[in-house]
Amino acid sequence: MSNLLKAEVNRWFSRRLWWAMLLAAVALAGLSVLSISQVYAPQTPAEIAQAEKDWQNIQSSAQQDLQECIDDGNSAEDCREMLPSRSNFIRDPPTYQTLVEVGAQSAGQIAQLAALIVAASFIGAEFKSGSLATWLTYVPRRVPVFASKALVAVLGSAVLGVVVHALVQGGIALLAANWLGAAGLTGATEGWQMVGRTLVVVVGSGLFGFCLAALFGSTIAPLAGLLGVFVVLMLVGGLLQSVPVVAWLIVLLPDNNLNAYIYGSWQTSYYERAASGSDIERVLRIELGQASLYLACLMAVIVAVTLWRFTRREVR
Amino acid sequence: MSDHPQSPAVRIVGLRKTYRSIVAVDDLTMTVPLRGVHGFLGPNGSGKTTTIRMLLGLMRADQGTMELFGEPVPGRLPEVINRVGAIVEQPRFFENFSGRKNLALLAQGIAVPISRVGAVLEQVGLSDRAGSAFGTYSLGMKQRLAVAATLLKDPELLIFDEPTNGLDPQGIHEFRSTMRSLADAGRTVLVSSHILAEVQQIADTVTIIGRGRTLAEGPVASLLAGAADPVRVVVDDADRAAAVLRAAGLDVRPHEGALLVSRASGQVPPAEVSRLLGEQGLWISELTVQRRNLEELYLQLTEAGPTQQPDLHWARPEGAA
Repeated sequence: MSNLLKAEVNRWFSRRLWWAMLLAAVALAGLSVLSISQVYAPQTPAEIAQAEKDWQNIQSSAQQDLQECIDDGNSAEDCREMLPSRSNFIRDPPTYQTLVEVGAQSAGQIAQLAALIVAASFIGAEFKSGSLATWLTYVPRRVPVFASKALVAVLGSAVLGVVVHALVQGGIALLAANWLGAAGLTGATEGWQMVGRTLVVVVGSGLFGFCLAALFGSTIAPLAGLLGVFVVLMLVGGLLQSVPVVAWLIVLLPDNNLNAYIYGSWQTSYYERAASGSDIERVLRIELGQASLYLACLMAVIVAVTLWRFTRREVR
Repeated sequence: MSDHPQSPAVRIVGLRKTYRSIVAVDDLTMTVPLRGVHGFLGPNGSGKTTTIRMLLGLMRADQGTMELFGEPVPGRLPEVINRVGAIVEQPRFFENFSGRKNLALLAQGIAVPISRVGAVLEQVGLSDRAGSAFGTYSLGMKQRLAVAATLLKDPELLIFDEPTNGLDPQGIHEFRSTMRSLADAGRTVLVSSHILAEVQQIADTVTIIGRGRTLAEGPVASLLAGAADPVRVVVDDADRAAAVLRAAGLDVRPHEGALLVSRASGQVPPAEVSRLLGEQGLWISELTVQRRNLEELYLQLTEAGPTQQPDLHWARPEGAA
């Protein structure tokens, strides 16, 4: 097994696609930090003064809009919600916690996509070139062959995830130090937990891509299929939300559980018609523990099915 | 060494494989003796590659038993795989990796010292291009790299599936020499081909299959000696000559402007043909004994079916039904 692992590690890090995706991910990570620096940069005193002026200027017209809204038969409470607030003009400076979370989200998305593609291509290339048949005539025990390839896909994805997260969080630490001072680089425990969870998702993405490619015997087909699944999930989610009787099934959709895992929890709501005829809002919530269990089970099933298929597959 | 010293290199009995309703291999039986070149012959689509794939565990058989060096496969394939080197159909490696890199990965995977990679590349004369990407190799170079890959393990049995497909005459000649020299060095070489005459030149023993079934098997010399060779005769008045020979109890059939003369009970002496025709004033312009080759044997077998050819040394391996 260790020989197989060494050979697969050697192959993973010798592939051009790996280096190309790593470079692309690094470039995207840099862009992502740049984008965060633009969006979350604290306002300068001059900008704050101008924003205050703008806020004051719209007050009279806002009062007029409020009156018109009420005159149209809406409640005063609803109408006030539609008016701009002062925070729309003068933002509070970002906290380090916010920046770490935004960075985790951004780095996670980049690394997830890159890991999915590299890992899918890692096994897909073997089917495409036919070299899997050659490999199996040297090592016919398929379970260790599968395990070594899957393990390397996991390790490679982890490396990719760590590099991208390290770059983004490094950039964010520099930004935060500049904006908030060295003392501001604290109090981001939940953000760091989110970084850890997105790293796990990156690894899961790699394993998922590997499994899809191994199941279908190609790289492109599963990626295209995955896109189709996302569209279907969006449609199913929308449909479930509009049918109150089955709306609770929303918590069983994988994308919602993935969001719950990444963000620590996830919630949505739907409306149910009460006997009185009024609509009652029902809140659905997925907690971190439930999402973790759900995703772990889903991944285990996918790996088990792929292994079963791999061991029974007729290789041409 | 083998736990079964008396066992042949390969023994297959009653092998069957179907793809939905298509029967690819049907009750196939084959024995490959230790050492020498064994030809596994049959036309395209006769089930040769499918059989080899099943033998190597790449496909599952529906029925039948297979053994490598006496060990049942695929059950005990991992135990004997290091004694077997194989190229199934075309050599298949990673296109973007160099020949050396491809072999290094294989060597690493089976714990063969990396130093052996250079040695086998040298052995097949590929050292100069070892650093080039596999995708840039000519077909002949790809074949040589595949042979080098099989030699990494220093195997006792080498399996080559249609190894000369796409090679130029020089490449075919080189490959034949390679196979012969491997066999002469004490290895067993199993080579499948649809070009029967080509393998006849190097094979010691053969198995001939058609439509997934074994048609004949045994030493090449025995198979070809099993039946009488027809006498080919060219005369001006072929119709009258045929009538004269038939009247003398000989079988005659026209073939490409000549007559092929044979007798069910044995060899026809050319002198007898010459005398019979000469006595009738029919003068022969060509007279030769047509030595049969595996291709003709195959055509004869497929025309009549194996069980109807008792004179063709129809051989079934031990243990076969």
